[in-house]
Amino acid sequence: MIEIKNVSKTFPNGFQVLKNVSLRIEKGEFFALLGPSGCGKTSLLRMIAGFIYPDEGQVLIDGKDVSEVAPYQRAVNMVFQSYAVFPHMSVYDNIAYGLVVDKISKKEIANRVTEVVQLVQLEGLEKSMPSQLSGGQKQRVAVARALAKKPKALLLDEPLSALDAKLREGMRNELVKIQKKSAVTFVFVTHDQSEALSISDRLAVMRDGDILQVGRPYGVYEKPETSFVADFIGSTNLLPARLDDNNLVQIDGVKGMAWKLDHKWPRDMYITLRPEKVRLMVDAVPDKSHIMAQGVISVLVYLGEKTMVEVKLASGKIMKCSLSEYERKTISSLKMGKRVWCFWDEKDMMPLAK
Amino acid sequence: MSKKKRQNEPLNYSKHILPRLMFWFAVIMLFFPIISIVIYSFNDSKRITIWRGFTFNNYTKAFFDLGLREAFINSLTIAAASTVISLVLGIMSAYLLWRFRFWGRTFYGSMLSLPIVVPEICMGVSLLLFFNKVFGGISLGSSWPANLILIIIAHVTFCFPFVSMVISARINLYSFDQLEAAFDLGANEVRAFFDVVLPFLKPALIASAMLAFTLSLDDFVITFFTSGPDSVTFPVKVYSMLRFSVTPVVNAASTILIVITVLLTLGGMAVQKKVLID
Amino acid sequence: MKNMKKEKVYKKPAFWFFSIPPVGWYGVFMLMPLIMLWAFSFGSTNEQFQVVLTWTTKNYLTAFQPIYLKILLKTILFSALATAICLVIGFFVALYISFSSPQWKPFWLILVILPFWTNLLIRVFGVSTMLSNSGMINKLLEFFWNKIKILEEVLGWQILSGDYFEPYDMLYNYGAVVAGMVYVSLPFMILPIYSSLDKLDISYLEASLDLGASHTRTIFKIMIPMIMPGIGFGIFLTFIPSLSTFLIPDMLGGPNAQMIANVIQRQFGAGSNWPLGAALSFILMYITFAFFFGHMLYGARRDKR
Ligand SMILES: Nc1ncnc2c1ncn2[C@@H]1O[C@H](COP(=O)(O)OP(=O)(O)O)[C@@H](O)[C@H]1O
Ligand SMILES: [Mg+2]
Repeated sequence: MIEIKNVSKTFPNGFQVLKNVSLRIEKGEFFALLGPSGCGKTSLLRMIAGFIYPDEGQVLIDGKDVSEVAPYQRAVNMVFQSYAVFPHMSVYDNIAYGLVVDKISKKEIANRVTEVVQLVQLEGLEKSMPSQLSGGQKQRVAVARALAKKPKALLLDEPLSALDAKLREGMRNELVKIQKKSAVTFVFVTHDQSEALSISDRLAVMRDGDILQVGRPYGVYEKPETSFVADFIGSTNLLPARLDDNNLVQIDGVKGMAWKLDHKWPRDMYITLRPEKVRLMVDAVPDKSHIMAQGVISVLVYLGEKTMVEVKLASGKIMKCSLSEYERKTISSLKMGKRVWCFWDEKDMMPLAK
Repeated sequence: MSKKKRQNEPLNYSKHILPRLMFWFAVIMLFFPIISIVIYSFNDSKRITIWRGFTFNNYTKAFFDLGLREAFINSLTIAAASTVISLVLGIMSAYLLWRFRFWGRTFYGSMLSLPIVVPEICMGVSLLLFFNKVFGGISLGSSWPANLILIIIAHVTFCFPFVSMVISARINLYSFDQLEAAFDLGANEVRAFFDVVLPFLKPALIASAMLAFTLSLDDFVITFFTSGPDSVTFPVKVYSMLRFSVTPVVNAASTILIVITVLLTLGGMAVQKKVLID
Repeated sequence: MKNMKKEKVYKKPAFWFFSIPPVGWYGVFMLMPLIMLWAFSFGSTNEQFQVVLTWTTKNYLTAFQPIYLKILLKTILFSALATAICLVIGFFVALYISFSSPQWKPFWLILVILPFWTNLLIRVFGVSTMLSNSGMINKLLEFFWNKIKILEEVLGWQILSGDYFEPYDMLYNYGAVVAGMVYVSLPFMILPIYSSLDKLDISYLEASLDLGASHTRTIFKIMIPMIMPGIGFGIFLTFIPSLSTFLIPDMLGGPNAQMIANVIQRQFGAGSNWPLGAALSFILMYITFAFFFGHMLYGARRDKR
């Protein structure tokens, strides 16, 4: 279990990367740190590994304060973004490196190396030099090398970003399998929201050195707490709204609204609406039970399994709308410049404070 | 929570004691001898290491020392002449290697790096021998500047391969198409060279001229073997002063040379920066 | 290939115009003298004190007489010693600079390069005044000596013998020559090591520490193997010029601590045995070439791996 308590960090050049961050990562879970690049994910990970020390606050591993313990004395290991597989050592020597340091017997080292080599499926490559390996294989070496130490947690810094798209997906599933088999806590840093959603048990969304929201992927996706999270996790429509005196939500140009919120919400607010929840109707008016708005198709992008449509509403706002292949086929005359109705249901909308 | 003083982060070797100590030891070691030369050039004493008070006398003495002044003028003349000749030969040599394919081209190219490998002392004695046997003596004449010709030849011989290498690095970035375009538009070999190739080489020309000038001005060993009694350069003169009468005047002369080299190098860097920006 | 040299039809005069001056100069003033020196090394002096080419190997045999051989071996040994000292100091200095903060780095680099803009002669002169009996180091030692003397009187103990400070003779021995070579070569050791350290991806060092290795282990097992090209180049730039250094032993070593270059110089000066000097020159050159090609081969083999 890793606990981060009120950690702040300012670099010597005066840049504050972490601002009073608190986080708890449970034993055995696959945890993702998600955020745009430059938000401080790597720094937080390096702080857990012991390469930077917090200015304020504490880092605890299994309840022990390790804030200023050197990396070689911490029971966590890291998989570097560049893999950092030592080029002058064979695959075997790379994996054994951390064990030799621990003064384990030669036989035990051989056993442990064989074990992790099987786990990451590198059999037969033990004698190869890193220059003979592909990117994906190097990554497996980096993972095996760290796992051989039987760490309390494995820290992975954007491990998939250097792989090409096809390989990335395979390696993603591979990592999940390895995690489940080894039962080691994985802390996984990424800026790719779909990667984080698909791979993790829980995730934290970061921005500018702050943690905005922590939760299960489904929960964070369905119930974003801020407009930043809503927009960063998947794409979304953010519609400016206000509450009238009866606490009814009003949106410019939208008909059929009878949605009442409690009085805690501020008068000026946002409504978010996922594009895949918005449906379209051409040449007809949707059923009165829906919420709807009229506009003109301004962008139409066919993406294979889905079609992205942007509708310019009468209020001037753009409504993003994602149609599945099935939905697209039911609408006959989808064309740029066509007048359409967008419609959705009350339960698809999420209120957000400004 | 109050900020407490944290210990150094692990991977900052500049904060570890050994590198830190070694660095400052090395810097002090590197500067101390030079600074002490400069300080003692203001010493009001006959001995160079015993301080007797501040004076400018050594500089006036150095200035009015005929031998020093002559050597200084010789050094500047030799450096200027060898820079010009080295530049001409270096440009030709680099252009030759880039433009033409000929028998022995690779051989010639690799032979150019010989002055880097051949020890200076060997080059010095070989030139001494050569001048002695071929010209029958160490100077072509005793009147200025004919007495400097042999030293200039020696300096050009070790300078121009460096010039050629610096210019080669630049000319290899040049597209052959440009030259062909010039031919296509009716230029002949000579015009094309002066009109399109030479302007492109300008930054390398300045860099290599600076290099040649400093190499020539600073050289001691090769000059030592090729200079006669009536053709002495500044470093050779300082060397003989050190041999026979070590007074603070030597310090003053050395300080002048230090200042000149530092100014030349800084000036060269400034010029190069300006050229690169243009 | 960006600069494919096209086989181009060109007029012969242009080729001659650009080729004769540099190739001619090089042949006449670089190769000819070396060939003459080489021929001289097989010559002998006749009764009229003139050197004639007799193709004798006598000069080489003389060069391998114990007196010359000893100096040759000492030259190699003390050059190696100076290189080793440079390597230790240079490694830590390079380490310090490359891990300094970005705003200080260029300043530290200039600080290390600056002394080497000054003339070699002046630098060696500076070292000789430092090491002399009335030089800075002896003055510093005298200062501490006097302080200890005062302490002695206060405590009533006898720590140092003698009533006044006797300066240490630090000049005119091989120690002074090695100090001079270290002084002159240090920047050449620092710069290549620095440049390969600066290119080294820090993650390798972090990975090593992360896997539990100590700093010492990380430096010896990861850092040093990975910056070997820089270290090799630094050794090359220090060792090879040290072998043929003339000025340093001339000014700091004196007659008791000579290197091979001084012996060569003597044969062309006071000793006046030009054939022997030529033979010694070529022996020095062969040794230099051997180390040069050894370094190149080592580099090529390492790159291939
Ligand atoms: N050692 C450092 N000194 C100064 N600034 C740094 C340092 N390391 C990182 N930064 C800055 O901190 C910010 C966050 O970096 P990082 O943690 O790598 O972000 P992420 O991994 O989320 O992209 C970046 O803007 C980066 O420029
Ligand atoms: Mg990062």
